[in-house]
Amino acid sequence: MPAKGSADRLGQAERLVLWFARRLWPVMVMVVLAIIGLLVFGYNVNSRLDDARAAQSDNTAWLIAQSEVDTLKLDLALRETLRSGDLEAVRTAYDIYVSRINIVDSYFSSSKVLRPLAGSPDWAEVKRLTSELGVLIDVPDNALRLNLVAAQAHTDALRQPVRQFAVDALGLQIASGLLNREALTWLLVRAAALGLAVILFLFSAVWVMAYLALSLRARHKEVERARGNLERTLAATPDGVLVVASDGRVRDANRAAEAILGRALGEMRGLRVQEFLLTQLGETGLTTMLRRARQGYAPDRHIEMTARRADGTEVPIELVMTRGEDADGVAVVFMFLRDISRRHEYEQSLRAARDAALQAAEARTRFLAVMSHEMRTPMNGVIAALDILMRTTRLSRKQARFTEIAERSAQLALDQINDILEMAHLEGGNAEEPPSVFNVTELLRDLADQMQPLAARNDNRLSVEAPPEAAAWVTGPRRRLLRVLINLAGNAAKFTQNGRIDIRAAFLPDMEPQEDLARRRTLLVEVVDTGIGIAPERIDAIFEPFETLEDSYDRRTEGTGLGLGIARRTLERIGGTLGVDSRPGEGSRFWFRLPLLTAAPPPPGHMSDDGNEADLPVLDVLIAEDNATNRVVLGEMLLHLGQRVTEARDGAEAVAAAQTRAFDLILMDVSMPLVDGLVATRRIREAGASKGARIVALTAHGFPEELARFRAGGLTEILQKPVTLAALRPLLAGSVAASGAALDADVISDLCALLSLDKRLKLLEGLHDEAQAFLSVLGRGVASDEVARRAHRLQGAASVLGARDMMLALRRLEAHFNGSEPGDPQALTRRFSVSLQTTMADLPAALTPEIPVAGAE
Amino acid sequence: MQFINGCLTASLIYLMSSPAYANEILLHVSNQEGQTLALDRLTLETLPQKTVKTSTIWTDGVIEFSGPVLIDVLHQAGIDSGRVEFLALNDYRLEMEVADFSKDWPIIATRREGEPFGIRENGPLWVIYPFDEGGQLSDERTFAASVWQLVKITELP
Repeated sequence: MPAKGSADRLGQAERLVLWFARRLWPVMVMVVLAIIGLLVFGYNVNSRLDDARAAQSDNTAWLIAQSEVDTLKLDLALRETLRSGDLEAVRTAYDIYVSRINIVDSYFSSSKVLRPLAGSPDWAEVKRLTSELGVLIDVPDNALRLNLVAAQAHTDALRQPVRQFAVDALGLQIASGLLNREALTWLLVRAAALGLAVILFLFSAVWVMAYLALSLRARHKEVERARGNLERTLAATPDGVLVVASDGRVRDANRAAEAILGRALGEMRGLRVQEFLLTQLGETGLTTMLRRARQGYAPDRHIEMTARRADGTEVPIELVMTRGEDADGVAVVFMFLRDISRRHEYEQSLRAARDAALQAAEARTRFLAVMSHEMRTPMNGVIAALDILMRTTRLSRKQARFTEIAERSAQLALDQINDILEMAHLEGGNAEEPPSVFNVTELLRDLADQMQPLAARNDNRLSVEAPPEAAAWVTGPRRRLLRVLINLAGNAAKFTQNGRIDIRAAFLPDMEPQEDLARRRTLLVEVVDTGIGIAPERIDAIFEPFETLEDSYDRRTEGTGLGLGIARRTLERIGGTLGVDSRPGEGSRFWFRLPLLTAAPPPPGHMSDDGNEADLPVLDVLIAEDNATNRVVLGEMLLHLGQRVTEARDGAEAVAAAQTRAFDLILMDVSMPLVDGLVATRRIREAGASKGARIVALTAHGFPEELARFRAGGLTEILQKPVTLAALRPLLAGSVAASGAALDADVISDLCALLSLDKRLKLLEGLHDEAQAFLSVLGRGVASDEVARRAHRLQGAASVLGARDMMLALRRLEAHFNGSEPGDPQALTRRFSVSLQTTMADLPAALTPEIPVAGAE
Repeated sequence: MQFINGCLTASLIYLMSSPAYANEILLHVSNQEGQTLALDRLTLETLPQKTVKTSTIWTDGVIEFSGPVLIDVLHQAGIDSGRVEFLALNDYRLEMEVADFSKDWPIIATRREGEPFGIRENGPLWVIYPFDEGGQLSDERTFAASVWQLVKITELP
């Protein structure tokens, strides 16, 4: 890893540099001191050498030796003269001798080595004898001649001390030479050591410097390479890069930035980015962003803005900012720009495509809904007519068979229309069914009865396993559940030959018991057949609506193929889940789970569809309906139920009829030409014999906003078209067919706003318990005034909670039992019981908007 | 002719100043041909004089020496090159190359502090170098070449 190695070296080098930088002065002082030391040593060595030179000089040795020689020469000259009488020779020899002695004497003063000898007794003796000699010799020739012997004696005496002096001087010279050499050696050794140390130090300094230079060069190269790479990357990247100073002025830009912004770097340099980058927040917005980026708060997300190019065109760009420093350490902001105009185009075309697709789907759904609805009205007429024909006319066997075929075909066609309509509704998302109280086991038994003929057609055995009936009372979307069951069971019957169809239902153990009045339970239903099964790769496709229409699998059988799709969507809408396990050739198991609320069982004898017509009160009923078919069918149904029927062909006719005759019940079609249902209702309520009659709206739509409009117009009750016998029976019995009117929405919303959830639940529980208790009192034949009193009290509780319908039912009961109003106590009791059921189905959900209701998404 | 002139001048000066010493022969210079130039004080002091102020290792303090330059004296004797031998009264002998003498030094000092000086003071002739100038002029060889009590210079063959 060369990079790592050089980084390590660099680290060491940096540490060394730091070490040197911090100790530069001490190091310099050390070096200077060492050099001074060397100079001092050098000077010392030099002076020592001088000393040595002086001490050891041949001259000195010669001088000393020569003093003895000259003494001997003087002695010799004296002896010679004693024989020859040449006095001049003596005088010259003495002069030479004296000059020698003088030189030696003065030489002492300049020689450190010989100085000790200056005061020695030998030298003093020499000087004494010399001066005595001078006295003897420096005389006229006659006297000198006489002094020759004495002088000779003196020179004899001189020989010994001169000799001694010479020996001593040489000894001193040798000793001093030795000393000098030792000192010199020491000096040289120390100087050498110091010199060596300085050399070593300088050498290591040089080494460190060389090392530093190398590593710095390596680093420099690395930096160069990195910068080169960065520059190449920036030049090659498709993203534009701008380097921007704190005030927004452009300092640098790469080629991509030039291309995106349509400006050359030369034009941009010095320009403020605010002048060509446009944000939704305006110039200050970008300035703020820049400031925040400089402070290190750059948003990590991309900011979209518009760039104005030099030629005036604008391009959408995406911008990221990050803080940095340029080479001089000045804070700058790096801006990374990306041209997103193509992405914008893609997004726009995608959005357009999606909108078009959505519109197409919506149009299709609307078309289907309208078509189905238009077809359903005549089909209802056919079925109702056949229904009445079969019930009210004695037919021959042949006629009966054909009528049956006609009815079945019509029913099938209606089913298919309903399927499509249902699907359209589900997809349109406006298909709410108010929950009602029903018995699951009863529902399944009805289902089995209904499916039995279909099953028998393919020689299938149909069986139902259900929980005990007593424990199977629930509140929920009965009609939707039934539709799902019919779809699943019908499917099983269609695809099974000579086999078995088992429908099993069970409540799953409670997952979490709740303190609620109505406890949540999960219903699990399985529909198992031994039919042809479904191939694994088809499993997902069978739930898709419409697309399966073309498939051969579905074509073999009758039906739209929408059944499973409707079942799944319906279940999803009411909070359930649908699944399937299947093996081709062995059969299928469809199952679903659906959360429901448990409910109290309604009083006995009620809610049976095959209700006895004799139980119904006989009422004067006015039908206001412009459609002749519907009017005739509805009239026949009412007649079948034993009612007295008057028909009106439009609103005006209805108003006229209501003026003269007091009808108990008016069924008012809402959409009629000229005088529509709402206007007719208002006129009837204004005056006339039927002022106080029950007026029930007939409508095919049932949209919530329409219902509100009807209620505002005095149509408190609503009957959904197509009208069936089953729907007419409770209406005639006195119950309310449509939900909503049973409750006073204003009171309830006030309650929700005023009281806590706990309080509301407590009130609801109280009402429920009291009402149940009252119901049991009604069945036991308690005294009339007691019943009236209880009815009155319950009225108060009901009115507090906005249970208006229940309150009305109770008021009628009270009026009957306190004798102020005659009436059928059984019918009134039934009316109350139905009202209680409806109220208890709707009121908990209405009072507790905080708690999501099962089945309502 | 020049020689006779010099002699005449020297004689005149001796007569005027110090008749006792003026004509005493102080130095003999012999050339290779066996000719000997005998030089008395007068003659020596008639030659161009040079003064050297220096200390010596044999005396105390700085002393002013004066006398003719050695090379001039050698030239007088017709000695221009080769080797010469110095002889002192105390029998000191020294051989030297003529090429070693410069045109300024050494001098043959005839006077010390302006006065003639005798044998007892290393005179009457002393070969003096400007020792204080240092360098080569203060080393062992120069000291050895500083012949005192000089009596004779002989050109060697």
